[in-house]
Amino acid sequence: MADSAAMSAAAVTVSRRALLVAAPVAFVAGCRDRRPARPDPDAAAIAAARDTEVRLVAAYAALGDDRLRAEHLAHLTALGGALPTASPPPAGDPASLVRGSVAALQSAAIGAHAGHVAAILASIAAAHATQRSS
Amino acid sequence: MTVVGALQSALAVEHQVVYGYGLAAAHLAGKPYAAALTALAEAQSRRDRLADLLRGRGAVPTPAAPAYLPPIAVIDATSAIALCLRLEHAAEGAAWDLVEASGPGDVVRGLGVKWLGAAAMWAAHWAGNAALDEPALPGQPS
Repeated sequence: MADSAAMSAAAVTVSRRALLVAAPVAFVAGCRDRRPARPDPDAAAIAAARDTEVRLVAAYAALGDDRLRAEHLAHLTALGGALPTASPPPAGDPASLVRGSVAALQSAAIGAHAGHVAAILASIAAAHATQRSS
Repeated sequence: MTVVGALQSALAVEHQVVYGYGLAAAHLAGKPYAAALTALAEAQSRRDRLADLLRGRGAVPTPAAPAYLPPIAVIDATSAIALCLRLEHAAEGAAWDLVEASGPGDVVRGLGVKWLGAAAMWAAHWAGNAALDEPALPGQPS
């Protein structure tokens, strides 16, 4: 019981402090700049790369190639993407899509504003250029 | 990391790659020997380009060491090829850093992107059948 009482007392103290802190925070939040956030200059490049990886994951899953499915899922995850709930459009020959994506990924890497985005796109391009079938 | 810092690190790695390919080639024959010489020539060219880019930014290029200690004992063709693979993995990491540190459209960015692709190609070549086990994202820091 003694422990329980001590806990309650501490909670009341924290609660009062939280109130004192919360008031200025609420005031600042109310005065925050409401202009729309500047769009991410790399958003289009990332979206295009994600779209390719989604199609490749689906294509290799359909072929039963677990290794290449996992590889392209790793690329998708690195791009901050996730598998869609709906089925993506068919990829056709995934090997052709992989080979055909290299130049676009390299170009996107060279033009990317954020360094870490550029490195991920360049690395995916390198992986696509060297992809071997299982 | 600054662009000059990344260039210096990349040059330091490329000095090691050049030295390493020279060492490996001494234990190789036939096609692997020819491949090592091709990779060596590419590395020498890139080393000189990296040094030029540093001079262009007013920096003094990192000099090569007189000799380097390989991470494994290189005593035959198998160990020589294993060294080549390690060299390219190091190159992949340096290229990643170069891409990340440079700005959009920068000549350094372009060099890094091409280098990452080339290093991944050579790594897959030296890995042979084990290339299927190469990382999904070449050069990515662990």
